[in-house]
Amino acid sequence: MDKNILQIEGLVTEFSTSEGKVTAVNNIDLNIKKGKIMGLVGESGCGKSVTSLSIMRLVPKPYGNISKGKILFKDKNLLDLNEEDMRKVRGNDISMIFQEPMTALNPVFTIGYQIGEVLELHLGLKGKENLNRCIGLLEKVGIPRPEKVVHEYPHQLSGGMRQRVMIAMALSCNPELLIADEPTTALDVTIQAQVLEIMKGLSKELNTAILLITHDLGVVAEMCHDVAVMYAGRIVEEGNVKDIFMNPMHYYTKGLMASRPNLVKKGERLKCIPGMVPSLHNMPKGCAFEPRCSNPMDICKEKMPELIEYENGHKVRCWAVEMEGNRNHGR
Amino acid sequence: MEDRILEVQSLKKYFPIKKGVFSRKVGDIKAVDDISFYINRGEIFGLVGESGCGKSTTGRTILNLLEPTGGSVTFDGRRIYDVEENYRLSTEEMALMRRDMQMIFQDPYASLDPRMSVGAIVTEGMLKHKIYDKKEAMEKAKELLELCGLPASSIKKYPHEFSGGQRQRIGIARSLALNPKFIIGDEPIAALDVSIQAQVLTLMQDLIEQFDLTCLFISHDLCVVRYFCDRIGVMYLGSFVEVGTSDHLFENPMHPYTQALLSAIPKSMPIEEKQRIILQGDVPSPANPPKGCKFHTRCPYVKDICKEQVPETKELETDHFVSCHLY
Amino acid sequence: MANNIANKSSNISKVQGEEGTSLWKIGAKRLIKNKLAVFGIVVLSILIILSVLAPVITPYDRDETNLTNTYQKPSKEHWLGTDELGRDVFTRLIYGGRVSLSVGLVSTSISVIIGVLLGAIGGYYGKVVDNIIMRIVDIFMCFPFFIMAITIAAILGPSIWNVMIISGILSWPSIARIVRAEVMTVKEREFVEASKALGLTPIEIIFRHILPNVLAVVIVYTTLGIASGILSEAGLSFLGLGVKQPQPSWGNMLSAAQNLRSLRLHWWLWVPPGLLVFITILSINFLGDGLRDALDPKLKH
Repeated sequence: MDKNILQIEGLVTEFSTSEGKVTAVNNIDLNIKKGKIMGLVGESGCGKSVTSLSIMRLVPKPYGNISKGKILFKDKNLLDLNEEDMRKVRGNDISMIFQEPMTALNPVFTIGYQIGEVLELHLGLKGKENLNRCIGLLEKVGIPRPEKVVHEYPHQLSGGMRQRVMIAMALSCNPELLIADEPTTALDVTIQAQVLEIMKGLSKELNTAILLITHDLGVVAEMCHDVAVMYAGRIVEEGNVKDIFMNPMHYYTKGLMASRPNLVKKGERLKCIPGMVPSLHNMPKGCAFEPRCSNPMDICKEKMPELIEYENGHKVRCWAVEMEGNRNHGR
Repeated sequence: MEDRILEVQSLKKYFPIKKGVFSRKVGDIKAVDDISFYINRGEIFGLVGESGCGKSTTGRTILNLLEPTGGSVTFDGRRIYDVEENYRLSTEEMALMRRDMQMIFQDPYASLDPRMSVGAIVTEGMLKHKIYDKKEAMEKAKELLELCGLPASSIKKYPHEFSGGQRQRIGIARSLALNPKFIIGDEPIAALDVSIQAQVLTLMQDLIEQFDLTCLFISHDLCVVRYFCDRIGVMYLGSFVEVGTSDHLFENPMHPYTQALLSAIPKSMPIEEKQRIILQGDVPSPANPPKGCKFHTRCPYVKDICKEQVPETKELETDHFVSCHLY
Repeated sequence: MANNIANKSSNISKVQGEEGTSLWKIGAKRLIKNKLAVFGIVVLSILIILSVLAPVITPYDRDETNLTNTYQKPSKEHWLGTDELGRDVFTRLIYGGRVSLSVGLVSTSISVIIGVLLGAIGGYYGKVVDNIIMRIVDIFMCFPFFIMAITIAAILGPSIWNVMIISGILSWPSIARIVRAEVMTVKEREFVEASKALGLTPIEIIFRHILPNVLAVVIVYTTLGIASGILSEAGLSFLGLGVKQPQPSWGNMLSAAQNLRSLRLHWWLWVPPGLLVFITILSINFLGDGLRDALDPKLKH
């Protein structure tokens, strides 16, 4: 059994808005195993990015607030740390890369300066040693001419290069967990393929666990060992990547799979999920997916189903699956 | 003989690069560099390529929203412009022509005027061209919105009260208001969520059938294009590298760039085995494209001739054109 | 077929309510929530009502002198006392408000009309047109405002109209710049391209799409411009180059009290106009800031 590097238990993150309090992340449990890649999939507003910000304790204050739960990183609850200790964790043990590499890099400093800063802060490297380490890191993420690129500014690099610099920066202290929030969404397919390849290779080489947040099921299929599907602030299905893709059980996951044009023949219509994600202000009483579900039942309107494990770590939050399961069990 | 609704001949669009105090022109960004193609009536033609390859510029130049630098466009038997012969439609003729060719934009948040009600947005074109009077136009707008899956009461609302997918439906309703024959969709689903993408795509399919539309579909998403389009043109740095039917192109990609592009699509199932061609380096700047074949700097099969000579376009199968020295 | 699509999607969109709320309505709602802005609106409304209704409010005539009754302290008959010619200070104050407020309004209107027109043309058409307009703006921006104003006022002679025109003509460039920058960003938005694709002419696009989207900014700067208009009137009149006696304005009332005797002994001659200028400018600035927060879509949240 693999050891969990990160365990999230019952995490609740709330935001106060002008129209009242909303729960962006609602009671989430998530385990990330050492050296494995975990995918967190969902549509915009489902809470996947807020989950990642919660782990880093970067939920924007004063609107956002982690109100419940535990985030255990190597059995240490991150939520109990003071700001000073948390800063040591960020970038050192857990680091993060973002969707838009241009805004995440400071335009007025050279690449070398920005990576060097992290190295100096967490590892105390200075001068020549620091520079050599920077060049080594850039080389590792496949940047050509690293000894020249260290002295260049972010705007001199293309989007794909910048994202590599971000990865180099994130990996500079050999973190045990890398959180990647839509790392390739802003990139072109061919560049995306390059970047994904690099991330996969480095994860294997350095034994870094990755929490990969994305809306692209293709990227998940490509990269991940495990997947959690989020909908409206909750995890609706979780499991091994093969189980999720070959045997999706939740109607939302099924719908997502069917609405991908990859496997549909020309001329056929895509099966789409009707409707749209409910507003966080106006959540249905029961299952949040019930209004869009192709198999709604009476109970779905009334009560939120539990996330239940069926086989081999495959967990689903759905009444229909639960009832089916019970029936099979009864036989 | 097929019925060609749109014919584009060696279209060029350069953006000048200006420098210095006196804004002297020091060069051109060749966003669209000599492309020719046609679209048959009722066909959906896909334009794919990576960002910066000039696919959006192509769409906008065809519609004359951008001033063309060279080439000609003929629509439904009438020339819209021909730069070489110095011919162009007059402003009035062009305005009339616009009724037949409309566009759906990428960003549903930027493409609707935030200060206008949805009714005003959808009826604007009809009122401008005096197709209906105000009351009729509103009725027609309601009809169109319902057709696009929005309640008729939406006409009194404002864009910010809708989600991205709904806004895109409003944009589609606006483009249909003039009863066009031809629609350019410029990445119409790129900014939307996965489940909403499928909805909008399906809506577009329904409408294309119902209104007998011809469509130029611009996208970077190869899966969508393969599924949605009849014929596809692959663009690289402002030129076509390969044009063919969607089946030909995906079953039998000929150009090394197309092959690399297809191999870069993430696999659809985790168990799928995929041979990946990882391209080296980045797309060169369109301000200073490589000599000869523009792809030679990244091509795995590069030969000496590629660095010198621009490859000719050859028809290797019926309706399958490739520009590459390999063939 | 059509029905089919409609049915499929009728359950798709459940948007509550029938009437939509425009961005203007939202802006108004936000403005009302802003306490300082509401304070500004209230104070300005009172001032406007006072100056409009001036003849009804005071029993005295504006220029009515009474040499037997000079330098009276505030009393029941004369709420704010009388001046060196025995004129009622309160009466002159609210008539002076008429002058000050109208100078602010008219001069700002002049600068807004010129500024918006030139800014919009420059921003939309760009290239040569823009270059010419912006160079003119640059030239105007080089003039030191007060020195120019004093020179022109000295040449044309002091009068309320001259003050309006001078301050209007000297302050349009900043509005032109703001409008131009704003037009240039709005112009690049896709909805402008969409209306081009619908066949609208440039003029139609400017008036139907671009100006309404620039209006919020213009409103904010107009409000703040009124404040500077009032200030420059006060300044010019104080220097004797603005509104001429016996017509009162806050500026020339201050100017009239500008002697050691009055400053020491007759506070009612200079404190009220000074205070009114101060309060008016403050209220306008509160309102302007409130409007900016309420109308700027970028500051949502």
